[in-house]
Amino acid sequence: MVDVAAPAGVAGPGGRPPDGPLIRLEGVAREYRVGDSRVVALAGVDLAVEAGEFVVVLGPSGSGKTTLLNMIGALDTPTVGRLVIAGRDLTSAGRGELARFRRHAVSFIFQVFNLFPGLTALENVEFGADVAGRQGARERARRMLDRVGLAERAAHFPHELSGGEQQRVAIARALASGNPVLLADEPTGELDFRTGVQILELLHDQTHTAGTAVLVVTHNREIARVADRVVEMSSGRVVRDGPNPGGPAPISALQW
Amino acid sequence: MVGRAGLWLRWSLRDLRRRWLLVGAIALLLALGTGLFTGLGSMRDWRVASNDRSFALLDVHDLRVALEEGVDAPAGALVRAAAASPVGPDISAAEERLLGPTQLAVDAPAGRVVVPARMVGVRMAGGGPAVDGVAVDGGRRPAGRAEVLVDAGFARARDLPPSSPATAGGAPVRVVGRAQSPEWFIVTEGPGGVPVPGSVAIVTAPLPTAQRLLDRPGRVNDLVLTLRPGADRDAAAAALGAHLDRAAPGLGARVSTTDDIESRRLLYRDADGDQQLYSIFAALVLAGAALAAFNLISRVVEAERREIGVGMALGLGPAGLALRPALLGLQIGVLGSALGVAAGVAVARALRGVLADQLPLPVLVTPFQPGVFVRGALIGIGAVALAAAWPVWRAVRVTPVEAIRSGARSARGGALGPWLARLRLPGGSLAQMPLRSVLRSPRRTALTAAGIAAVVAVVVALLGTLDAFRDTIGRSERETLGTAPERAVVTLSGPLPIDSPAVRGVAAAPGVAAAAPTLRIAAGARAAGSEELTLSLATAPPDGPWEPTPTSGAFGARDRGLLLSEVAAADLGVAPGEPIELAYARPAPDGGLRLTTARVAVAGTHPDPFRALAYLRPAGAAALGLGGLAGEVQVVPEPGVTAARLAETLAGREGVAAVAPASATTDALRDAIDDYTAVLLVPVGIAVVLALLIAFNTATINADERLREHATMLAVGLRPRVPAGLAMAESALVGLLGALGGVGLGWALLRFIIEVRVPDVLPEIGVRATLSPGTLLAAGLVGVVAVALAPLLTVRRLRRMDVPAALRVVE
Repeated sequence: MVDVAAPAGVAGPGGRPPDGPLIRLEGVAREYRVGDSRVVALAGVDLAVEAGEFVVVLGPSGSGKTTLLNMIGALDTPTVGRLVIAGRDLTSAGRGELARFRRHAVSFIFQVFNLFPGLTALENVEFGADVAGRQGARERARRMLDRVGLAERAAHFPHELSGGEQQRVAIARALASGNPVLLADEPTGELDFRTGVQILELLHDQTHTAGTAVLVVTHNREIARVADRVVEMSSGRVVRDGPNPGGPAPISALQW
Repeated sequence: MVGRAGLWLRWSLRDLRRRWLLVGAIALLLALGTGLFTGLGSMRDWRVASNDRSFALLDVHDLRVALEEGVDAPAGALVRAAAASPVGPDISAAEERLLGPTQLAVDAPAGRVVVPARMVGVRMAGGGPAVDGVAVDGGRRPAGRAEVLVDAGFARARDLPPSSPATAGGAPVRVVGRAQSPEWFIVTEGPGGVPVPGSVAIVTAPLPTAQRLLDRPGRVNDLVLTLRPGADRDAAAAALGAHLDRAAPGLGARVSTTDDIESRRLLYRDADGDQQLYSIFAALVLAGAALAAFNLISRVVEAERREIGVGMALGLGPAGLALRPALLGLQIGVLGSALGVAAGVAVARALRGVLADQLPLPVLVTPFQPGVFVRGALIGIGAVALAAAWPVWRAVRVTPVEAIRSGARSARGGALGPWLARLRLPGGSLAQMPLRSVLRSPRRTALTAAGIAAVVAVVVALLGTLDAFRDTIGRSERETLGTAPERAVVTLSGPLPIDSPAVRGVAAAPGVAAAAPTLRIAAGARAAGSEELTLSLATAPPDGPWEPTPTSGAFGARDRGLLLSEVAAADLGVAPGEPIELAYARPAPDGGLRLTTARVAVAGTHPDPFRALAYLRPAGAAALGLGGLAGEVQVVPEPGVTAARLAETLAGREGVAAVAPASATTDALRDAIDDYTAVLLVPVGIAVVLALLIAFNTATINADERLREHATMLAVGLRPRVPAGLAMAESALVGLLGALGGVGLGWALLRFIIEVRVPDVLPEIGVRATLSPGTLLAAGLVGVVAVALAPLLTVRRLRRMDVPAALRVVE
């Protein structure tokens, strides 16, 4: 059983769920200026995700799916629109509040792992728990590493681990925080099929065991088959948002 | 904020283990800057402390009673007179002395030396004298009746051995040691009022020996006293003077105090004046070190910007993000401070050796100055703290995704981006890489170049100061020696008629090809609204062996005007044709000298940088009542006869007080400048080491930052020498920018030093800012070559690189 300390205003297992969806975007857009050009990465996106949902955001390269994830994870700020995540309106939040939000509300898994090279696997996971303010961070980290099957590699540094092992450490770090929203940007992009399946199983499991809302960004349609809901993006817009026809497929049925 | 201190400590120690060499090198850089700042910044305190203790050790007099020239009294009379005065009860010790002019002839390694001297006879029995004591530096105290000491400054200037035969006033004596006495720690007399080390000797002898050599048996003409603690020295001086005027008016006694001791005044004044220059050099080196440390540390932290971004993504606040860089800064700051103490001690030892040569004092103290060190260390630590905080501050000002995306390895080119895209350079992609890399990261390039520029500026300013001094010597030599480089100057025992037997005898002496009698006097010059300048005024006969070179105005054969140095004319604010007021001593009808003033027109200017040197034609001298007199004879030796041999020939002749080469003045200037050179070489050496450290650190950091790039090059089949060569080319470009900036900044600093500060410290010499080709070459070597070659230190790392692992690393 994962110990999740619910941050204020956010429901945890057994707690009262927040009013409305866990993730709500209203008319969120993001523009960049590159020299004299204007790049529209997101163009008025509306989205709502409930606690415990496994959502796959699908789209080709440049469709805005990573930008969408960055908005939800408060790694970037929208040009226009409204964001309410885990009961917090982030639209006009300051830097300090955004940092607190990232500590206690969302966990991010990057495509390129982004582990700290100077920390061991255990310490990287412990870091995640510590930042989120979890009690017994070291023990919690050990449990998470065990859960992702890397208990024997706890004392190894990132450069001593394979790509798949590094990604599992990154997942363990995200899980150790116990935050209600888990965002994964192309988590299997650097990995082989077997390892990718293992990763998906870990992420999917989180929705059931902790009621975490999981959003996975990918360009791999096969991965979208296991989602409760698929949000398809193109040119910065949501072109389709709905459940998988015929329901989510088991992970064991995936092939790519 | 992460509360697990253990995790952060472990992380920080691993960071330190990984980059201990870099941390050590940056700390050493700071240490050298701080150490030199401490050393140079302490010079004044050391010199003042050494002065204080030296004067105290030898019981410098509080009051001195000097009788009128030519007057003396029986031994004991002066002591009794002082005891009988109102000051009597306040006197703690008294010593009578006999002082008189003489001539010293001694063998030096460069040949026979004949110089005017002052004989000082003091009580040496029983460990005396008890006032204005005599310390012996090399050799021993006189024991026999014909044994004497010479002052340490003269002995050092002439390179005399501790013991050598000599003559004093023609009588044989033996020099048995070097004396240090408060009034003559430095000798301020010289020909024509210009102090020239080694041109005048102070001969200290037991009182009976001096009385015999000066032919004044049983006589004294000087008294020095110390007063009990708490006595009012100035009041005592006035009271004693008044008493002696009443009680013994025939003695013509003049009472002076400690403050009137010229050598003491100069020692303390020079300590203050020189410190102004040293402080500038110290600040320059420390600024260079601090800027370099700032640049390097900020790049190290900047290289971990992605990790800072990841920390932001995980929700760390600014304090948490700043913790690792702060720990890096703390490591460097602590290590730098500790090494700085050691560097400060080492610099003090080096400067102590220089000071020991510069200052012939019996006591030299160079204690570590913690206050100065703390000031320097705070500046260094401030730079470190800023360097560690600045990249974090930059990172938290952008969104986490920007921080993660744009690590140190990503260079967007900033405002140069669009221009860079349109830039068409010759050569293939590899050939274009160094310039593109430099332009791609304008901020980093500028910061690195600024660090190099700071150090190059220090080297240029310091070496340029030496260039300026050497140029000054060269200008003086060209003017002074000119067409008669072997010329010698024979100083007569006093102003004599031009046609006197002594003058004719010199002109007719064997080995003399040509001779011209001249007169040199000290005079004060003042123009409307200016301060008085001291001039060494000499006559320049139009038919003499040497002529000054007018650079403005004219100096005709019958001109009555003054030819001033350009420096003096500028300081007085006069141009050719304008008048100045001259104060000088002219012969009086009673045979003595009388102070008088006269208005004299400025005929023109000459280029010799010695401000005091001024010239008059015989017609001008006659107009001032100085006609027909000679105090010197300019002689040109016959071919094959050196000035040294001429000195031997002329020494001991009637009326001859001294013989010196015409280059004596420039030699004195060279000696004075050698003292500064010795001090400046210490910061120059440290600046060069700083430059090498910066080059090494920059190369190491560049190699870390380009790890993936270089791994990719090796992976596609390029040999290690290719990325190393590209790194060298890029470093050379940055180094060139830094060197150019450094030369410009260094030139500006040099002009400030030479045109603003040096005139305060050395107003008597007109120094001009100049840079020699050697200095520019040094700037190029330090700024370009050393920086360009530094990447060679990383070739080994390139050859041993684990390419797959490097390509897999995601910092």
